[in-house]
Amino acid sequence: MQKMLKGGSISQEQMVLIISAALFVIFSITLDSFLQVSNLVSLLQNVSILGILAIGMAVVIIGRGIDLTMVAVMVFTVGWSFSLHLDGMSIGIALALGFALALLIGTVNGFLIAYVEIPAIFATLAMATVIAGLGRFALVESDTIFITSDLGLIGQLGSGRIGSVIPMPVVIFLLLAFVVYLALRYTRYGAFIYAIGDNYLAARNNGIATRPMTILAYAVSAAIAFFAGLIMATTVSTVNARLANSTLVYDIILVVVIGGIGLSGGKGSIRNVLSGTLLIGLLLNGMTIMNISYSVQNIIKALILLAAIILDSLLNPRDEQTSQQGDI
Amino acid sequence: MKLRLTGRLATLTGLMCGAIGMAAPAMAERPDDGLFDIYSSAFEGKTVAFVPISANYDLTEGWIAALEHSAERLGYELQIRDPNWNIDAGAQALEQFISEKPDILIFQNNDMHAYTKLVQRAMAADINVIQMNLKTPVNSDAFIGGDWYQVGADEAMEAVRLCGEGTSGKVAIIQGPVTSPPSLLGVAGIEDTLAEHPNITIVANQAADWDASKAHAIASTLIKQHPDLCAFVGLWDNMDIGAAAAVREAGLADKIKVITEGGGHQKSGCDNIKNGMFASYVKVDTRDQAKQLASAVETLLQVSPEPGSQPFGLYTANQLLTPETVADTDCWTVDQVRSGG
Repeated sequence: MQKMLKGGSISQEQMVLIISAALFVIFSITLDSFLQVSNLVSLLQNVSILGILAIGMAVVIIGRGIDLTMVAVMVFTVGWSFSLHLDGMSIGIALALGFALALLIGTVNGFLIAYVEIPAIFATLAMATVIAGLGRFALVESDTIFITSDLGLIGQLGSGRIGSVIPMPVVIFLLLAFVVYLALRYTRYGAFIYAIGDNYLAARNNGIATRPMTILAYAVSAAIAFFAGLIMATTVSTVNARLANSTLVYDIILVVVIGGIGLSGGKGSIRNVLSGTLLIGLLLNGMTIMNISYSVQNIIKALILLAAIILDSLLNPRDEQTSQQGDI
Repeated sequence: MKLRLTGRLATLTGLMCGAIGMAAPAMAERPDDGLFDIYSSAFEGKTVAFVPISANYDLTEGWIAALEHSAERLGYELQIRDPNWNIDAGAQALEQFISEKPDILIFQNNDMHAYTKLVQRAMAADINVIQMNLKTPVNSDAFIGGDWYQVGADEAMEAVRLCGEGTSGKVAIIQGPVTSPPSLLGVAGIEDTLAEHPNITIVANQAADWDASKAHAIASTLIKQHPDLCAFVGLWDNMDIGAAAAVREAGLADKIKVITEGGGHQKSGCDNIKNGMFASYVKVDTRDQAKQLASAVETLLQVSPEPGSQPFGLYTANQLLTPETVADTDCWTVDQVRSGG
């Protein structure tokens, strides 16, 4: 079911791993304190939220969809929860409400795509604007929400450490990656998502409940977005609603695509997300240590990503028979 | 309610005067001091337009609260269009306002040069223009806002104070988007000042886009790279809270200081100074700016000079807050500004 890339040639995932390994070696040799456990841990920590979001996005993309609402869902549902909490609601109930809202938004996304049959990119693009508008209007009153109260154990999600070494966001990222990996690989729901992504009509003709499955995929990505937001908020004690206007959602897609999950759906796995996340993490960490200026960082990032894509298209040329619009 | 009551009293007085056959004034008139009548009629039918970067964060909330309070008191119309951090949407809002010809156009620019031409066009269209907090290189009728170069210099002096003998003297700068005025001017202020203090070295200068989680990522990497770092010098409390969180996470809160600046909002400013997240805070008081903005509008509506003919500036006075000196009255809440406080 999972369409493998041509045997014998190097897959995009392997390509990314090779580039990552090369960067790792170069940084280890040239940068003084790169090869330290503490730096490598912080490297992972700094991309773990991006990685968590990318896992949610991967589930949707494998099912031949895309979820442009993830960042809006992340900031406004979590922002709403903390606004309610700061107004006096107990943290448990406030978070439950925020989570329920995220699930509702995911369900609406899935419904628009599966039943109303709006292309995913337009449905979620419009929904992202709706959520951001609604969020500003009714859910949060300020662009930055400062979490001034002590959250106890929940606060540990973002700032805690296991054995005082491994930050919680990294643990959660790896744990989530493992769970979603198992779900995609070994459950029938996972198989259904690959089937839908590979060939929607064939999946439907074979009796897979494609529409409810689509809703499930978007609900999963919205739920993951909520948890990513919760971790981000508890890491820096603030919720930054301005992120809804940022290019973060494209960074998420980039991690997924660069890792080798094609936008045409049906291929790739969580391993691809891990390698994509690792590459971005290495780049960000190395460039910060080298104190490269912001604009030059953007150029380097873009060039390396472009190089990965060009190399991939050289190694794995498009198959004209199976290629379709929207393929990359 | 108060107005209506005064009106009723006036009517009552008029009736009573009429009843006893005296020449009654139509309304109770206040004594003419020679200016008040001109003053109070200067605002009628006037429109003031404001394009902030976004209407939903501490600084703009403070300014808008003061403008709303003043518009209600004086009777001019206030229109606000919120481009929500989007420079293009801001340019469109400005263009729209220019064609609607308000009496005063206020704007806050997120990018040093983006709105330069629009300022000139607005003035050519006979609109008085106020630039708020972040100035373009072009002068208009007024600029009200921070002296960002001096803010940087003051923060640098704090770095000199906190990173003297017995420390590594290493500091790292965390700035906002590189094209925004506080970054451009603030970093220049920091660098120029530290150039005179060779014991302090700038080991990194990174941009975190006014985002706390980016600041957190940068700070946590830099802490690993320079474990003996003495201070982070940031350029906005909303962002630098992320750097402070990274320092705390690394368990180095007593070694690495976070020096920042901000508008003195209670939650982003004073609360974080008191709980030790920020070791030093250069306050560019939003309350002062809000009052000055309201006063500048009040003045320009009366004088309505030829646009750009007499540019003036009201640069905010910086105030230094530290955990030792911070007092309850040093910060503000939006509700306080809204009620005229």
